[in-house]
Amino acid sequence: MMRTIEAGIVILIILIAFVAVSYLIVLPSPREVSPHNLRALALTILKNLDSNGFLSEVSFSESADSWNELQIALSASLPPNIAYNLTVYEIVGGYYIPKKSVSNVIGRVSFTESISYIVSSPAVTYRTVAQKISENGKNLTLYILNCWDANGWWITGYTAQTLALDLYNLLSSYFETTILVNSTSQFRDLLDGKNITSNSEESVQDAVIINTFGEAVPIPQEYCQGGPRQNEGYDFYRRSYARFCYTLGKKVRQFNWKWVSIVGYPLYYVTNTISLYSSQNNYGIYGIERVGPAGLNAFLRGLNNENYAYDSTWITEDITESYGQLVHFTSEAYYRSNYYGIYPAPYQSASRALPGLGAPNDIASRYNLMVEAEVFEPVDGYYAAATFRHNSGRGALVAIGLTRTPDIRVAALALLMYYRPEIYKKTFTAPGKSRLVVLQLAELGGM
Amino acid sequence: MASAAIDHLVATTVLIVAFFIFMNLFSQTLQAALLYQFHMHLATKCSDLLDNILLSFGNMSGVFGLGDYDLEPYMLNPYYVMKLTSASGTLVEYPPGSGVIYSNITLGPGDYLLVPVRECISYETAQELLGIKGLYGFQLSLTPTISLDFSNIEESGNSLSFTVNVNGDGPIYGANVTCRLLYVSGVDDDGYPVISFTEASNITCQGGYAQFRFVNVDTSKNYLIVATVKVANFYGVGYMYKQALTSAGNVIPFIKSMENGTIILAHAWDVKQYENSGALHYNATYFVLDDNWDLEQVQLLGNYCGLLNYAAGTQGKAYNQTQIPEEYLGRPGILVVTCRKGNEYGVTVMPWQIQTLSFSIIFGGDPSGQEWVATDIRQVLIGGVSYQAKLALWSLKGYQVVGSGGDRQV
Repeated sequence: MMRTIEAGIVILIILIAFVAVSYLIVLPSPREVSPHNLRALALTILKNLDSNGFLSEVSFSESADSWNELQIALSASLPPNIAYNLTVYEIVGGYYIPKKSVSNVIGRVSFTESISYIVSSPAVTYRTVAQKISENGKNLTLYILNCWDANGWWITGYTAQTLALDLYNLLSSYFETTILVNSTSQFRDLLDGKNITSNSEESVQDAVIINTFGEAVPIPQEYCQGGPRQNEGYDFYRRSYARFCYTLGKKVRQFNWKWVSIVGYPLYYVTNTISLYSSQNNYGIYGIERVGPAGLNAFLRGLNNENYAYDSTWITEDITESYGQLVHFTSEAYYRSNYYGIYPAPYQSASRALPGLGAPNDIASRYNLMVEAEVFEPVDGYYAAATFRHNSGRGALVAIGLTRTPDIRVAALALLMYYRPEIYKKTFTAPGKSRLVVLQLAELGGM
Repeated sequence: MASAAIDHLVATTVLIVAFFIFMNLFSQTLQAALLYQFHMHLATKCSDLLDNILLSFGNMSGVFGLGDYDLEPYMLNPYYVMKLTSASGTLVEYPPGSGVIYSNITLGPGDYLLVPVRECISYETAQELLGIKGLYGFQLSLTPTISLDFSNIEESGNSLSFTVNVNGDGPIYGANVTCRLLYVSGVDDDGYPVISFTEASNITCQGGYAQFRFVNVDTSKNYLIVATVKVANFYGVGYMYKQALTSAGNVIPFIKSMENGTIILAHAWDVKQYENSGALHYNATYFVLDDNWDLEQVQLLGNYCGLLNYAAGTQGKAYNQTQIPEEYLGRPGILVVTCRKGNEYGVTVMPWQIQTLSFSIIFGGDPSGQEWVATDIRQVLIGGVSYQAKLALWSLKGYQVVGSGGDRQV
């Protein structure tokens, strides 16, 4: 009997525990479980209202008609079960003074979400002017390779031409002259030190050249096998176009160019869809011929003013594979990213990072290079994106050794980090012409 | 000894029974809590996914998105929207037996948007590109937030009067409404209907309506009214026509290619909509809209007018083809096809960019029958017209799914 009583006591204890748990566990209402994202909705409405300056105009207006129109637009934009209250605050000396508000609420409602939005008076003009990039007091020319007779590699999903256009839009405001190099014959003229436009501001000397073709570099026909300059472009003994990469390195040094490689292993292929029409890169892309690691090694020899030699040593490191980690922005990169308003992802996969001090095959010591403007923190001496400037002050390689596909914003950021042009922000008319708009929302009805 | 054993047996049995009962009770509480967690996760996923769709750029390969790099966030590219395979209408094959399938948005007997499926993005592809195939089902709907309705339509001699009601959440007053009246003013020497147009503006009163009266217009044959309203910087659009059909149906426009703007104009009989294959004289007129929504008539290319019949050895055929000139493909427009059978006049309209006639679109699967559907909404602009984008999301995996867990397309 005693055991049965004890069992009964145990059951009683468990029952009390269950009742207590059931009482304490308060499951949320369905609306709380599956809420509408009212903040996001409010933001889209304010943003769309201000898409052509309407909200800014009304916020500074005393006209009852304008405020009525704003209220009508708000009511039309929000579902019927949403209560709202929009208040405009004037910002004076750090204090927020309410100026006017509209609402569809009579009585008291507990608003659950609010979103704030800063508007500027239509009378104010904000303007930014970018400092032109210069060197030794001379404005530089930006060349973007856009050759129609070349194919890209490791730029999957893009074409060199679309990348060229995006780079043009991103960077042209920072350069006095920006020129698209539309064919390999124009590129040949550059290699000869000739201007390719009639623009009097164009200057081949000290220019910046961005190769939008990824791991491939356009090669003019003259430098291809059988061309009049084949001795400067083709290594007959090794059957390799590493010789052209060497010539390119020499030219970079001669004209003090900054050569920008936007993704992957620099100078891994050469490309010309006419002269190399029957060649393919082992992946079925014709008009491209593989050079391999010898291309970059030859380029660096040229940049370091050494004699040509064929060296096919693989020197880059796959940080993602070998170290099992992503590369992270440097603090300077974060700052410059905000400063220039260019926002690539701060964490990236780097499979072609170049070796600097402390890493095997260190190119900084071997080729007299100084590593500058690192976009990503180095990993064991490997740099995922940085500028390798020759100590002589003549020529530099900006190498973005990230994994495909390219984010050209990283290349743009690397270049801007190297030159650090200023952004001059100008405001016309009187200061204090901003107002804060706060939209509060609450969902009514339902459970 | 025996009573102790019985006591032991009774106590153990009672305890075991009680144990299982409480196990069941506790597990129900835990299960409910888990379900709530799943549902909350679904709501979060729904919000993320909606932003993902609205903010991603649809011109990038491997991306499903309706945003545009050249537009501000939450402004959708009208062409990407047009390329969504509609879930609201059944797919149409034209010509019958050809295997060419069209996505179908049909709002009435005279309102069509038929886009070839090969140019559209399918629900399955969207799921793959969003990375949710096999995990979640969704339905995206885009609905205009401002509606314009017509009432009190009166034709009297050479005049037409009507009322336009403007509604958002409620009646919208003090809004400027502009009505464009496109009417069949006669037939040309070859018997094709000729369209003329005129317009007028008025402000909505406190009740949210505005009255219009057009005089010296021939509305006896057929007409189409396109009304627009501007509220703040949002546009709303509404339209109505006198009659869509003749006794031989009307002419149905199919977009053959969005890229080059070719449009097939087919006899409704050939689309298997009507039994009567009577000859129809048609005239297709195209209007592009400028930034102020003013209509500009544009000369179409190809067979913009002609005769359609049952194509049995007579002149004419069951369909013809016309084309929007290339320079106007990037602008919003309205195609109006008027047709005549004797003294009967029909009309069909087709938007080039859905916002020009305020078409709604539903894309994706069918949420009905799902155990739990999370929804979220955003406001978006399509060519200046305010739309509400609503995403319904449900899980195809996990405890919350009842039934087979399969996904169904509408």
